[in-house]
Amino acid sequence: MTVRVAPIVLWIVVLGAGVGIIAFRSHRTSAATSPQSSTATSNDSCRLLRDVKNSRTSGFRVRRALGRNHRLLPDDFVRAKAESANAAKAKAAPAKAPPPSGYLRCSLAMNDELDSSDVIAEPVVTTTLDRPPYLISLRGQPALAELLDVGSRVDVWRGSKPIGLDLPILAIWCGESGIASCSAAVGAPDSVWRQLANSDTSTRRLIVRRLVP
Amino acid sequence: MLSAIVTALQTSLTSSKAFLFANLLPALLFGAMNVATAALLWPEVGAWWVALDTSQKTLATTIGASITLGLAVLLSLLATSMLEVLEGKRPMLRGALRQWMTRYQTEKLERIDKQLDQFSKVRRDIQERTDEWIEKMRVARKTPWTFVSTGSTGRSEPDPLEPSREAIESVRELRVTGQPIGVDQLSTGVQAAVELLEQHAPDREGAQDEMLAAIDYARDMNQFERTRLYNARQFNYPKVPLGGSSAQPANVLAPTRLGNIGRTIQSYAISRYQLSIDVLWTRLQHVIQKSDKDAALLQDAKMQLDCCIGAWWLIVVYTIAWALVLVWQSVNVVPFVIVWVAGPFLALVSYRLACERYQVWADLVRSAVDLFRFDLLRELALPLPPGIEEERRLWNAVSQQTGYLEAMDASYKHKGP
Repeated sequence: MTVRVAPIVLWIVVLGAGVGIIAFRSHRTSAATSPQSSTATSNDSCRLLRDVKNSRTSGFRVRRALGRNHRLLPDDFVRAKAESANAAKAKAAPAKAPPPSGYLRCSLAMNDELDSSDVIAEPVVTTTLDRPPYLISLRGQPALAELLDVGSRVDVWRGSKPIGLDLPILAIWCGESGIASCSAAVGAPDSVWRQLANSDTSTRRLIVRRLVP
Repeated sequence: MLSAIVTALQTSLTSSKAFLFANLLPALLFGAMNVATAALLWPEVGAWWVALDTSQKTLATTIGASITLGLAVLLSLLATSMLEVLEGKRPMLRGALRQWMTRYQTEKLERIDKQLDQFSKVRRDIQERTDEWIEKMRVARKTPWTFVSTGSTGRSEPDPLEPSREAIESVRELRVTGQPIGVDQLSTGVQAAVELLEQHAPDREGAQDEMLAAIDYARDMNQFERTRLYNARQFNYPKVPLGGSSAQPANVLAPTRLGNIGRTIQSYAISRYQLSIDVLWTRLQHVIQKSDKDAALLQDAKMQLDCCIGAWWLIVVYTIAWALVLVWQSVNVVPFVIVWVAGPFLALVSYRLACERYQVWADLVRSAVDLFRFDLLRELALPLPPGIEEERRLWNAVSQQTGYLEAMDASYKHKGP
């Protein structure tokens, strides 16, 4: 092999190895931490996680794909039609029952039927070592509680200075007193987490960088 | 306090143009590239900077400037070593890798030598046959015109002289497009012109002129290519085929292109004057510095060379470091691909630039040897030799005596009071 060819071969080998390693890690990370799964076949799909024997349909279908920890809102549902596969069970649900509230414990694809076992009262946030969650109150920006969802990305500013950029929303958590009591759980790297936890009392604001479609 | 120290350092160091251009500029670019890459990859870096207040920003800037200045000083200290590693002088290139790279350089040199031999052969052939070709065309021109009936049937017949015209046109095409013309092509063209001349074709004059022009062109082109190749050989490889007593360590090939360019200096001085530039360079520098313009030219060329060498090393460090960081941390392949494509490309460009700059610098040193060697003899209080052979003997003796403590027999010629 000539001196001209050898460096090119080495260069291609390193390029291939690097791309391979990064792509592998990217795939693993997205599989492990993706908060918004839009297909019914993903690892945290409700279809896979349901206990079939004890499932009890709610009589509602979801209008769009919803990720794990999504805060359920009335607009997320349409009533399931009688001819659906779970029609018999659907009859068991009250005809005019209000849409369920709470959080999804798994992900649903568009038009999936919601099972009562898919709903939990509180979001369960999976922590990762590199991005522990930090809870930021949305009291000053209540509209964000309905705008943001799991998988959205935000910048956090304190006064006129950014503290964290492009942080993922892990969950929108709301208390008993409605939308005014909502908080956003953001995944923050250590350096940002420390700044967020700083006792500075300046007004903290979230700026939306990306919304979940 | 820190900024005062930095300012003092800056004042003392940045007074040198060479330091500014050859060391500080690559260090600054290196720092800027690293900061930009970090900011692009990690938004927290930008957020951290924006979050700093004025005094913190001043402190951070001062620390950054100090690190850059430190890096520039380090580059300045390592300049010679960095060049020597790329020249293949340092033991980083050893064993099989060194042999492998030296083989490549040797094969490249052999290819050039083979091409030079071919050009010499073609030149000889053209020279030997030029008179014969001209004579053939002269004789053909004098052939008496005779009518030959082609027995035309009224249909359009192919012109029997058309192949001759095509042969001349192909020679002309080579000439006007600046390509070399071989002996065989010239021979075919001359034969075609002879046929046109013998048949008294209407374009016979043009054919003869074209072939005369083609012969001149082929000779000139051959000479041009030979000179170009010879210069490329002389400026890139230490072995100079002069014959005689050219058995010198300087004739041994280095494993890298940069190393071979460096060795051309010693090879040139030895083959021309038996002057060992390795031994006498510092003394020659002392003489050159008396001419401000020449010294400035040399310094500028060296400064540009050092800048390219420093840039090459920093690009390599940047590429390897960021490639490792990205492979270790990133979940996006795009930044890694950009770094791994752009880094080696820029390293290649800076290496090529370094080779060009080194060629310029080596040429300047060779010129300095030609122009300042007698001044050096005067500075050494040695008598000027009357002829080239005496000069070669003198420089050989001076080099041996200065470098290797071999006694020489010479009388001093001191300047008058």
